[in-house]
Amino acid sequence: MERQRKTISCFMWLAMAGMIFLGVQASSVALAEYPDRPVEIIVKGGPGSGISQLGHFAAKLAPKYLGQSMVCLYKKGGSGAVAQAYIQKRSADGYHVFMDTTTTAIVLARGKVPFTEKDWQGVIRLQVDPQGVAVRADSPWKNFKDLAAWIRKNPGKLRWAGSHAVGIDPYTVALLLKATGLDSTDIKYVPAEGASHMTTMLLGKHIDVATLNPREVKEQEAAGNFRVLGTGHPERLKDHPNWPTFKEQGFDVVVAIWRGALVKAGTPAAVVKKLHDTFNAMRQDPAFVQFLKNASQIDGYMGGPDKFDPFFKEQVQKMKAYFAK
Amino acid sequence: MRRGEILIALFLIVVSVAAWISSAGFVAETAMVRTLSPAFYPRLVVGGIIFCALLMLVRARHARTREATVAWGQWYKVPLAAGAMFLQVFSFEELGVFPSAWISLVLLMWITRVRLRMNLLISTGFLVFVYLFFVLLLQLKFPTEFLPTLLGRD
Amino acid sequence: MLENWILGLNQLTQWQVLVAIIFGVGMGIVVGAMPGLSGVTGVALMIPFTYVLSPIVSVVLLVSLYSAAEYGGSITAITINTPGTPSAAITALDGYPLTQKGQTGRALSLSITSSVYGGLFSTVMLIVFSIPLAQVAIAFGPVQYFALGVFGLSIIASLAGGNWLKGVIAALIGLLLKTVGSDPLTGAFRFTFGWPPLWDGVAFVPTMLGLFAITEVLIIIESGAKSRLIKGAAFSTERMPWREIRGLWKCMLRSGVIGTVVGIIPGAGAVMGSIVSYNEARRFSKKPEEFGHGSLEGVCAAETANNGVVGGALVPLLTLGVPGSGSTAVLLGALMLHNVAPGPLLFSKHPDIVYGIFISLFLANIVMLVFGLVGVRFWLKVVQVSPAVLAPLIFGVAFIGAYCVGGSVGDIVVMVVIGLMGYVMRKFKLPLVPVVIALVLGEMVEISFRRALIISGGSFLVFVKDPISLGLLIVAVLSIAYAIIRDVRPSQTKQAH
Repeated sequence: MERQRKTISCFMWLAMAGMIFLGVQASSVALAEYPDRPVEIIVKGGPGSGISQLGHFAAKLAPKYLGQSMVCLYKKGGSGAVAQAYIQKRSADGYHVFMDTTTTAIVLARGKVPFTEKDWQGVIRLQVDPQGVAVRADSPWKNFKDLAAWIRKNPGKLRWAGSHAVGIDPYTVALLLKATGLDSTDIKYVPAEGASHMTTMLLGKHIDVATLNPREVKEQEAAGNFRVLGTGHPERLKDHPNWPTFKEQGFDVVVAIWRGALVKAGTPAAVVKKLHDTFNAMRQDPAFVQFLKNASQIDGYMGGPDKFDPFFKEQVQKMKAYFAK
Repeated sequence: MRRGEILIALFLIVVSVAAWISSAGFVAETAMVRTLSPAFYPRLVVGGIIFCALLMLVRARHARTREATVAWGQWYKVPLAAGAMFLQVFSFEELGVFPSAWISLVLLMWITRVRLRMNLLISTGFLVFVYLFFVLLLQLKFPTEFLPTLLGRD
Repeated sequence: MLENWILGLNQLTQWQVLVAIIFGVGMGIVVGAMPGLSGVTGVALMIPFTYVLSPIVSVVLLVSLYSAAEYGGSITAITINTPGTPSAAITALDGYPLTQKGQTGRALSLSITSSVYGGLFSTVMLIVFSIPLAQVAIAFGPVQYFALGVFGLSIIASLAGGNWLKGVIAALIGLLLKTVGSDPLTGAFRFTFGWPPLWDGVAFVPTMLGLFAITEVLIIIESGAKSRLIKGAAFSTERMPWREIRGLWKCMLRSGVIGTVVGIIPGAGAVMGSIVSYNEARRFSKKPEEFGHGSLEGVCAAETANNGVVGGALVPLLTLGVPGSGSTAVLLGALMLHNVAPGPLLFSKHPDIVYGIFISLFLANIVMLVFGLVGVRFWLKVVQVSPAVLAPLIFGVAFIGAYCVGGSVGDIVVMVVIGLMGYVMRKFKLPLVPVVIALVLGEMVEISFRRALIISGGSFLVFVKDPISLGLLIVAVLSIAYAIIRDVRPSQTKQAH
């Protein structure tokens, strides 16, 4: 009995010591060349969200080019505020990569988090997802010009939905209205819960116009239920050459959701470059090309950090101006 | 008179009044949407709570039968248990999820008076299960580093 | 049509598909039973594993997992009063009292049979009527959702029975909790106390874990971790005989229909299906007084309905490309990864996938029946574990469940705080299920109401002009009025008995 007790307590201490040992080892200090330990990819969504799919995919594919393993971590909450705080609390050493979307720019511009765009360093833009406007195929508007003319004739009548009340969709609607010389009081903007919600409402004739991205509209368009009145891409989309752009219809609105990687500002330039090269190589991997294609996303590469970083900061500034109104 | 009900009704009224006051600070962030004030509905709910709590007060005062008072059992163990829970919540990022969960489990089973030997065995066995199922099978990521901030690795 | 079935059956000749069904069902039951991991998290967690699988195998795996998880939730609801999935909270209402009477075996065998029945029934509905039923999904706009939400809330008044005031207070607490976070229509921060984890509202999974798992742990600890059997009851391993289960066929049929139809309405979900069907079962029951104290009909209604929702939720997904529930939304993302975009053209573009799903749903339910019946033996052992050991372990699992959903410390803090709140509520006999119902329906009521007014330009007439909305609102008003009248004149109802 006594011996048994001793064996068990011995086992306990060993187990405890083992746990701590592994923990210490995982966090022991070593100043080898970057990256000498797994790199974390932090996403703001939970399992199953679009951004977590990208995060997981990158964590699976990129280690091949980084020479070090990567893990995808969820830090959900506050539209990414929790994830931002998680990274900003840590040192700027490139071991915590923020895989995120336009939402970050919006959150920063709203000024609700104790960080600014200067606390971030853009690494690479991986995807762009142009904003688009769709109506039911049986509605009278054939293109965006028709729609604008109709709104002008019937102010305050059009039921136009977008995701959420504050975000990229209302921003897009505001830009479009501004480009047509209209005002937000000329329509009824209906904040929806997301793309599926808008699709259902549009199919059920509860709304007239929806703000949707190519991925969200292409199936309904192919089935002949919806018509795309315009996209916020600079030129016509390769996969959908029949969709007009806003630009060609005379409305200078280019707006898209992007997804890409950011790190904490102050990360050494060599580390940023290493990360950029890794993701850039991954971007050209056939598996990633297929991943983008399946998700109906467009490759959003715009050059190194020297291109993406200023783009990101400028976007935050633009959004700030929009929210200040 | 039912003391328990009076107490909870008064508590609800206090919280509701506080919620009503704080709802004055709700600011709409966008002019895009023309809708009811964001404080309208919370105030409706809070008003409902106050109304129901008052009704409960009146009923409790006039109740002829004295309902059996709330049985509190070994109530002093509840704050202890909550303490053990919060200990894990606030320590697992620093200690690593396994040591911190182990400590909390042992504490909780100490509170429920499990014999020490069983206690240690079950706690360890449970963590082995967590490792096998959640970490190995489901590939979930948990903070496992020991004292990352202290040891300079964050 | 026939060739599509052959195409679907053809898929099953691949051994991987059969393995996927068995693995999916097994995982689904475990994930569903695990507090904090529900069907939606289970499906989402499996997605990275499906990268390497062929589209059909992935879909079959995820669909099997999803349907089995809805059953799995009932296991922990019945055995330890900690619903593994949100909708199992309704199962716990009667399932746990059955355990306290020592009748766990009966409750568990009934729950698996009802679940399988609900799953099979809704699969048939999905196959036969999916195209016309899809119209139900798009008929629901903001106006109808508001009415549906009010109708759902009105059930609380009738569920709470004589204590409707406490039920209403609990529901109002739930509605208030739901307003926490950024207001979806104006972006205003409500009751967030400047704490970022609350910006998106109190997350549903941690709240459920707090209300049930943590509260139960605290109650067990406070009671000195005594046996959970009611005084005088003896523990029995007896299962429910088949002829008794057969006697519940009316309840099953009704709940199957309710579950499927509610499942079709996007966003209504399994909790709503279970509540409505539970309420109807009580209304039609010969022994309504047993509900809440261990009614077999209650367990049957809730379990049939929440599995019926599975088939229903797939209707809009497969026909319109619109997910009908959280799990199907994740499923949609998974399908897209495999270049199978659900939409109106899915039937013509990927008949192999669609008919593969149909056939695998049948098979998954049969596998589930086998696993479930065999599993009863194991779960009966879990019930007999001393509460002193069980309580800390429930907390351990709840902690992991709350953390893995979002990786946020805030979620766990919310869980423990809500758990303490639930403990206090239970001590003062405020029921917890109305809080869950209110959390599920709160946004539907508030936001749909305001959204409907945005669309109507401020006119309230829309709610009475629409036949669906008018009908639901009238039923809601009647059932609230009935509950109040019954409460005000307790003497008369007593005489009637």
